[in-house]
Amino acid sequence: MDRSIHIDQDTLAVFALGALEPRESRRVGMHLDQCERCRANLKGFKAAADGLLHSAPPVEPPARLRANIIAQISKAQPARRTSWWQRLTNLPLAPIALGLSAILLALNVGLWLQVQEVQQLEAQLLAQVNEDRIAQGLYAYPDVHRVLIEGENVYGSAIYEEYLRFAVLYVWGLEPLPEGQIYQVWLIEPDGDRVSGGLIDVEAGEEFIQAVVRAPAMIKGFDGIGVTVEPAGGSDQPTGVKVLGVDL
Amino acid sequence: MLDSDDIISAIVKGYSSFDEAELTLLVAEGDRQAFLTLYDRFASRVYGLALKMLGDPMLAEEVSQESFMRLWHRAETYRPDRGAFSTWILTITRRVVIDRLRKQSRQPEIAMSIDEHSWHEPPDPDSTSESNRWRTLRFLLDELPEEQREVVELAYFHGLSQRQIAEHTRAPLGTVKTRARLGLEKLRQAWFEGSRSDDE
Repeated sequence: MDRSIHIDQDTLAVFALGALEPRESRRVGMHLDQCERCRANLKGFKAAADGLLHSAPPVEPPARLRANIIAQISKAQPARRTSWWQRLTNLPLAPIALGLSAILLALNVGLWLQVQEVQQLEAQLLAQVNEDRIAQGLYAYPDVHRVLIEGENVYGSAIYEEYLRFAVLYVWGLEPLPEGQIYQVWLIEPDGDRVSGGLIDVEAGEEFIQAVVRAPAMIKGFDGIGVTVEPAGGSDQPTGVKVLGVDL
Repeated sequence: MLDSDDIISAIVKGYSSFDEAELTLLVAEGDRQAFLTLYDRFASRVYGLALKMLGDPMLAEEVSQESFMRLWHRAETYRPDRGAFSTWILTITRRVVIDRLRKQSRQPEIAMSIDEHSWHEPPDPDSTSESNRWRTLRFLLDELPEEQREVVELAYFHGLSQRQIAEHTRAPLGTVKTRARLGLEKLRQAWFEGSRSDDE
């Protein structure tokens, strides 16, 4: 979209309501990234749209919802999180305990780092073995399809079976990315919407990669697969350069 | 950032003394009590929005659960300088609903199945609270011309695209877009007038 041609107010209003079709929405989004005037025009519509969120009447949910959520968070404790006990050791009220902890920590830190490294390596190897098993299994599956990958300086093939929820990409020529970026796989729905199929981290010296693409539904429900460059951690929707595509 | 005094304060006074930004920081550290405090404060808003959008109590419950689990896993992504926590968690809820609707290609019942009577009490003109202003917005939405309100609601609460709305309302696409603009402009105007009068 030409930056000098501004977006009309009607389209901005529909954009603020989230009702543009995906392709037009992406075009408008790209223009807004570049155009301060249109961003300013959008602001009022966006504020009104945000207000709509609050216009729904509050309704007390069933008590079981709270219980279900408590059960779920008990199972899902991310590793990076710290316990109350660990936080209490940071309090100035316990300088002696803190000092002792520091000495013990210093004594054990080397060992701990080694254990972490081994555990990380083990996890990576297990994940790789699992991906290899999936790839081999898919090859042995009846009615498996193989299609060529299209991309600039990138080639290979995608293997899939329509009624399974994953595909395997074999890609040659993917370059390692600078720090802070990662390849992200997208499954393309018939209406053009993209759903993330996972991340691909290419390391230096890796000429060939094998990646299992996991889909939220059977592969036959998608029109294609694409790979873009995204910020580390991935994105909700494609934002970066497309490096390859596959028509399913 | 929370310091040691804040954490001691949470233990001594209880979590009710913390605002949402502080509670979210604690949730990002894995604090379940802080998470449940946020749940107790916002569950009815989250469930209410999901129910309004889906019209199905069971689905609304699933969506509410997913929304709060996203809070649990991604609390560190909340930025208080970008807006109120309530807007953030309700935006998450709306996205979860829209994702579901679009993935399942299922359109929800348009008719509301819940009693909104209590919410429809006229706002107190002497009150300048934020909740009162939101409630006023609800009134303004209801007072929009029918064809504008319909477009705004189908788009925002039911996840329909402009073309789907055109089909649903049997109106030309250009008309749908204009109705969306006129509706939002009226809401925007009323919203900013409300903000100004609150500031005075």
